[in-house]
Amino acid sequence: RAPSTVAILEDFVADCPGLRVTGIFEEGNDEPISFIEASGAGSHDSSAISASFLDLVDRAQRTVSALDREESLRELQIVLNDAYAVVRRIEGTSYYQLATVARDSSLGVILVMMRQYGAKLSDALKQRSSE
Amino acid sequence: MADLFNLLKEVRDDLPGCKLASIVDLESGMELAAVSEYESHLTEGTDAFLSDLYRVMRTAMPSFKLEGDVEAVVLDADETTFVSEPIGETNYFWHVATDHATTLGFVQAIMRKYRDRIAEGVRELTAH
Repeated sequence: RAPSTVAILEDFVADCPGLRVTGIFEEGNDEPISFIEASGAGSHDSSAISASFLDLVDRAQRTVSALDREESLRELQIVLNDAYAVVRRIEGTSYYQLATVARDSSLGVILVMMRQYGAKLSDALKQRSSE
Repeated sequence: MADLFNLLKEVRDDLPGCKLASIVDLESGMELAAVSEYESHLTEGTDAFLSDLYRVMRTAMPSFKLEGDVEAVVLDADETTFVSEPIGETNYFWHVATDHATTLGFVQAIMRKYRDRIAEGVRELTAH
């Protein structure tokens, strides 16, 4: 049996220095499927985040498919002067993972971790959908 | 006065697999200048939705407790990478789209190379 998405995200947090928050979102859901705030990240309104997040994904998807309607969004990286925000579609599912990290963290490490953990999340979410 | 179209052509020629190089008004989403192998209605659509993404980011980032200024945006799709940066002290951003034969690191290096000239050109054109 695949571990839960929360358990997978907890391992992800442990493997990502500088991580602030991470969560799994799906279009049409007002709340994230799973959401974790790293220690020191403060308290976040998960409903507000979910709404904002889905707006971002919607505009990003429209941007890529405007040039070629066959294109699908795989990843969105936002570089701010004090942080990174990364959104990645979980392959084979309709879910997306979000991670925000401090700017002094390694973006490369975060991206590698999201891709590696994406496979585990995909298995867990597919199992969840089949139950 | 810098010729923005020729500058974008230089960017395109320096970037293997370049599909689009453009300069876009952040507020209106209208292209100030663009060079592309694609038809203009497709590139105009991409740039308009990208400017809307910038607009949504301004309201979305505070909900993530992220207050810093946006320095760059990267969208990775199945066949294309879209990289954009706001042009400092202007109301514009510039945007490059390439196929996956070109690495993101190379795209970013080329954008660093041309960044100051693009910014100077936009400021010269839009100064009142």
